[in-house]
Amino acid sequence: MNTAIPTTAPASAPTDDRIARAQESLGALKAEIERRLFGQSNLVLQAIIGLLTRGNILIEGQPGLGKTLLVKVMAEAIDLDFSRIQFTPDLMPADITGSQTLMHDEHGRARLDFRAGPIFANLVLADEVNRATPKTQSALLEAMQEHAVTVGGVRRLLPEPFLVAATQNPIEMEGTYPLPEAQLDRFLLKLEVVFPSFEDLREIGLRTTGRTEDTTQRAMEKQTMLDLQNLVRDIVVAPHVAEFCAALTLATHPEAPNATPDVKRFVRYGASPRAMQGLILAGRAYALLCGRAWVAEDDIRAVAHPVLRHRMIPSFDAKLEGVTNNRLVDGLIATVPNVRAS
Amino acid sequence: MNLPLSNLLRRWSTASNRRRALEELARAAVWLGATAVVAAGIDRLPHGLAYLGWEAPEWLANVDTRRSVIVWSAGIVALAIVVRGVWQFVRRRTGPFALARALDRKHETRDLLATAWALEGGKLAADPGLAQVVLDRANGTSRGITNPVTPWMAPGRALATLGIAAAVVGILPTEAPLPDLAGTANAAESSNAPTLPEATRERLARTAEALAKLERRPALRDATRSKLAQARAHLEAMQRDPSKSIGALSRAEQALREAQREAAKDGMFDPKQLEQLDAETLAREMIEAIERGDTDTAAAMAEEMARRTEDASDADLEKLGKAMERALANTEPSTSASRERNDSESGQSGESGQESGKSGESGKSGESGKSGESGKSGESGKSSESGKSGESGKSGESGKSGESGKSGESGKSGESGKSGESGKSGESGKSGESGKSGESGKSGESGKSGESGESGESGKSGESGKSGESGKSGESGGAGESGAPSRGESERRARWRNEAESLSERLRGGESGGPRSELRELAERMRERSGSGSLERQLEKALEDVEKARSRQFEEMNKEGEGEGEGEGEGEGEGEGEGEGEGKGEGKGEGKSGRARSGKPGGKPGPGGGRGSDQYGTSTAPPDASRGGAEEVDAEAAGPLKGAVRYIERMAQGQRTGPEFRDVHREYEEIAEAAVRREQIPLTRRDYIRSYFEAVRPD
Repeated sequence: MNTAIPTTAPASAPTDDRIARAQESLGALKAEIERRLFGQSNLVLQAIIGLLTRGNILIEGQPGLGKTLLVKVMAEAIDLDFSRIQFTPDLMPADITGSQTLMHDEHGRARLDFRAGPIFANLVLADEVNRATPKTQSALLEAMQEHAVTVGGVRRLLPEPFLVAATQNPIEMEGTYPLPEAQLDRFLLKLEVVFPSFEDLREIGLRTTGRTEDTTQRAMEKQTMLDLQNLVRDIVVAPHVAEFCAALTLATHPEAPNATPDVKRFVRYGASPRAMQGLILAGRAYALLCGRAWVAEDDIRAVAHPVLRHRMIPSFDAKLEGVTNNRLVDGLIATVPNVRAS
Repeated sequence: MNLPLSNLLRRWSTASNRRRALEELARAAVWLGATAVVAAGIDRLPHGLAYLGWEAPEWLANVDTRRSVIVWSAGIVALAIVVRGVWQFVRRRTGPFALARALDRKHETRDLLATAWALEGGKLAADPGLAQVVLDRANGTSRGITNPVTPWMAPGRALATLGIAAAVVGILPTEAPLPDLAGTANAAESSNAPTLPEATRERLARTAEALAKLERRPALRDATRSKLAQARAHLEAMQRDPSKSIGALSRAEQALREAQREAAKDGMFDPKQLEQLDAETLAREMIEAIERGDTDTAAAMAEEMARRTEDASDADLEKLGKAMERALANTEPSTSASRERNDSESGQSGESGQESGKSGESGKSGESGKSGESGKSGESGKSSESGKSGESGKSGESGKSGESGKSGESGKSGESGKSGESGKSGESGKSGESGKSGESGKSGESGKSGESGESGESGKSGESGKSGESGKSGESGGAGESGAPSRGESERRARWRNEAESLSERLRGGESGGPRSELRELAERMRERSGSGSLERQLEKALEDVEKARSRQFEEMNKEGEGEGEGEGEGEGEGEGEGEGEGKGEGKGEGKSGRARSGKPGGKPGPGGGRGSDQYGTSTAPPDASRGGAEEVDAEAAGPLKGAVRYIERMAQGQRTGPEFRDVHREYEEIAEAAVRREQIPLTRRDYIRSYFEAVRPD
């Protein structure tokens, strides 16, 4: 049963109205996804931010916490194509991108047909990406970056909106190929799935073990999402907010003058300029989710964790002392002032 | 293009900065006030210490040094306060953007105003539609902002400091405690005082006479009068029994100091007594005081007269005017009298005395002749008395009294040493060389002459005596009164007299307002002219004379005494250097296992290190497939052990130095590297291992 689906106002409508309706649409989407995924409000918010910013997301969490369900529900709520790729050590690049197959037509003539791989979907879940070989990983990463694949010399565009949600299993390390840090940087956000609370766990048990399976209601049209992705790019970012993002990015480097003592001690390499881009994009999306046409510094602080936590390479001391990147980011957003704002 | 928000922010930031500037000014002013109070407190500190019986350091006790230190310190502090105030203002000054951000934080508008400010300023390119949304919302928000300017921040700390400083300084005494002269006097009674030189006795006699004259001043405060009487009584007692001179002088000095203190605090004259004087007496006293140069008496009378003109009826005013007229008529101008006196005098004391009596004009000598009345001219009377006493010399002296008198003798004075004392007087007698006379000579100011004589009085009273000599010292005389006021002094008196004449006429005409203010101005000028007040100077001179005499007596007594062995033999020989422990072995063998933990030889652990056998004393070479068996290490060595675990343990405590640790590190690293190469370590763990050895590498 379809309920009324809020749409974005036409581009000619007053902009304030567009913002309001965008907020309404996104609110409905978030509510629907949260209905299916209990106790993961923050995770859902960040996933929507990833989608709005056309950025790829890396999801990390223990098995069974709903990583696959998140992406699947998100696709269903927006009526997007969804595909899941289970990465294994023997997975080949062609298994992802597709390949050309020799076919015979009715006249018996041989021809090469392209069989699209699972990458050709709007939302792609790359499960346990760290189990595949680096060669296979690179095929995925290329598709993420280019929104296109090249097979047999032919470049084929991937459908829009396109988002890759990759997962990594932090438990099993034997026989795995963790994504190199340089590749991690290509993911806009890294989401961490937390274990549900007692109440949420109870709800999960009650709702998912019945005879009828809950289904996802459509909350947004595909075109609406495309419009929203364009609208996000227009959200106003003041110079002092951009300077704050720059200060934050710079502070992740141990040799930077504004680096915190923890960064100097526990970080080997800091975040790249992609982090700066990620902060601004994610900040814009967050502002739009809040119904604002401009980005505030607090928006940047709200999205700093998913943007930065996978971009700082910790030193051995950090591993020895159990210092996580989340703790480092906490210190950064608490202490880094916008010193250049005047 | 209308930029309402920008204009609003600019206006608010200007107002805010103005308020900040005023705050800093107020704060700086309060701090400066506190500095001034503290400076005053430091100035009073020696008095406070004296009350507590403590001795102030030399630099603090010395007025010049102390004040110099205070001025410099206060100046530096004041400069620092100003600089800090300026710096604080510069630091807290806000521009429109900073104000926008502050308002965003305060009203939780999430950078709305700051973003709008940037948009209006053209600092960013944005989608026009969205930009307009931001601007509209910002303008709407700004209209609802009340109190955009940051509120006043009172200089609480500064005010508290000022309050505390004022409270502390307020309890500090403003003057040093009076010396316990009474105690000294009592102590001195038991011993025989040395003989008082004749000249000193005579000088002190004159001082007593001068004090007697001071006592007869009209409307003098009872307490002051009483103290003067006490001092005079002691001096007279001393005359009767010179053997008790020290005690008498001490008590006299005590009384004079108390009188001086009271005079400084409450003034010489009692307002109530002044009110009780009738118009005739008031006017007469004023005119006579003018003529004899007794400016503070004249000022007090003039002030009282001015007070009486307030709300006075025409009849009262006329009465006042007539009284003044009569007083003027009955009082000869001192200038002419002075001249006369000078002529008659020429140093003949007696005559001068007489003249003073006569010339008395200045001193109302005429009256003085009567002495009683002269009492008023007071001095002159006395002088005449002195003249009578035939001690013209005296009068002369008195005339010179102060110094002149002495100078009278003066020729000898100098010799008499009295002059020496008078020092001034002596000189003055001569011609005002004495400091004072000199001064008086110059100024011809009665004040000085006054000093020259308590005799000054005589001088003042122009008791010719002075006049005579004052004529000479004239200057000293400033005695101008009596005798030879300086030209300037004469002119001043003449001027004041003329003013009095004019005032009397106007008072008779029923005018009150003008005369009142003029009387007050006249009083003010007379006070200024006399400096600290001629009466006060006379008191000061008397005190000085008595103090000098007492000091001299003590010196004489001590000389005789001789040999009070002060010799405070200090000689505490402290400081035996005990050489404390030349590093005697601390840490005697702390090693529980008999092994010095820190292991460093010759170090703190002392001798205990490295003894004893222990399993760790033997080698614990790391397992190494490529090597043979365990490596043997000599545990008995005086130096550190080569146990690998021991070194690793030490490394964990932060000690990464030493060749032993480097050896262990290298051994382990080689083994691990070999294992990695042989692919005994999973791929994903190889970097981990490498990083580990990197982290524990030796310093």
